[in-house]
Amino acid sequence: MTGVIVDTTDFRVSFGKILALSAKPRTIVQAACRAARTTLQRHFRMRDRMPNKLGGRRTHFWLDIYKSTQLGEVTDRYGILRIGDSRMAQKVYGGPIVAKNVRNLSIPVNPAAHGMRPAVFEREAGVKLFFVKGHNQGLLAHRIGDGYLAELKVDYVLTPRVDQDADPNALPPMQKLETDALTAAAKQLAVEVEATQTKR
Amino acid sequence: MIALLLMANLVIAPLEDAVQFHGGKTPVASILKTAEWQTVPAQLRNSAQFSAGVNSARVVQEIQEGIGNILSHYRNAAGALTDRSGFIRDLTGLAEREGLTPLPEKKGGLEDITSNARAELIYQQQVGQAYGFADRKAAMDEDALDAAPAQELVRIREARVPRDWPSRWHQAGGRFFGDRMIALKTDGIWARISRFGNPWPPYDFNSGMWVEDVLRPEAEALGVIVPRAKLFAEPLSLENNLQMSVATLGDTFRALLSQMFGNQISFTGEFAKWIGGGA
Repeated sequence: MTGVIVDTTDFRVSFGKILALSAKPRTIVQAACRAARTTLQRHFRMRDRMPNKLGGRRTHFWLDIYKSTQLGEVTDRYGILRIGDSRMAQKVYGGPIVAKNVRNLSIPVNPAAHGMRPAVFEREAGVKLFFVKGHNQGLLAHRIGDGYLAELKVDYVLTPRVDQDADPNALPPMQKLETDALTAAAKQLAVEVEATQTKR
Repeated sequence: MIALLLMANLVIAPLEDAVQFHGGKTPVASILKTAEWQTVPAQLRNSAQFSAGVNSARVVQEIQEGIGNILSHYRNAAGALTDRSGFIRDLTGLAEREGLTPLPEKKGGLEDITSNARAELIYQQQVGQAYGFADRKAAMDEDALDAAPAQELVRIREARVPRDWPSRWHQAGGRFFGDRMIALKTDGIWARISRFGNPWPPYDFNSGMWVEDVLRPEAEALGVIVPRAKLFAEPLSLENNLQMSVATLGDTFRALLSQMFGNQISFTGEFAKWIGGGA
């Protein structure tokens, strides 16, 4: 399990004041967490509208993240937002990706191969991939045409390891998450106070 | 975890309810097409791991295991996670080895279990249903309903030929707030708009629609809920999905289920239950 702490001292103080005034603090935490969740989801929706770097068929990675963003444990003092898609950790933290099941990772360089493992691409495109020794790494390519006019189309680069930077925009700004959570908490408290006054 | 005030943590971890929802399914191999599966009661359908027209027990089992591994962040002996593209490679490869190759005119389409398009649809549908269920379960909580009593049907992915969801919403008895499709979470509309009879998304195959919370202040301001009204949670239990009463279905339908699934389904008294294992 990997996590990002979403609270600053200012947030804690402000949120603590709201909770102290409420007779139903767990409802307040629910409202704050659900508002923060919606902020995250809208950020992921926005990310999904951007085309991927390579081009080709969309896999809608960010919508998978959107759907997996949910509330975990919620108490009267804290709440946990969960992202259930394991691939998000790589986006948030970056780091090495190392081939584990096979000798090399196959990184698509042909837009038509985007989102597909080589075996699937072969079947879908109706081509036969073969290994080509490149300058300093292996390639998977297929042949276009026959005889001396045949051309090579490179589909994948083979490498045992890739080092990826963290995506600085994987998550929305923390300030926005906190502001939206605090606003929702304050509005929920206002509803609660109004309900109490009406009862009197 | 100990916290004095709020510790709003964002963690990347499996969603237990999604894992449990998926884990509660029994693989059922059958040549039934989508329309025929639609005649099976939703409760029984939800607890069956099936794929329309696929009668290979191995392929259905591969779907169950592969999606389960994705949801649970399972790592194999080499330390590798299963992901979407790995699942598609394994499923389509197995389907080909099992000889489930389609007629030439169906190749590459949604009826071709060896195709990327079909495997992608299975991934989207299975993972989406598990996440949708988990979210619905978390929403069916007294305080959660107090804070966010309503939800909005929103388009999260554009489609080349979008379905007419406003018409579907209208025909199912949904109310519009401006052009927004919003209803209480406990409203029957959510199951009525679903092709699968479930109150959680996805509501149709390859659908670009999902739901987002509408918090109480906004729900009250829009008139979706009367101020101070309290909603009562509808418990979602996986226990209920393991078997269902068929007492109300009648002998004819019971016989039909037996005919469709052979020894993959059992009847004990008034209850039907999946056994799995292939027909």
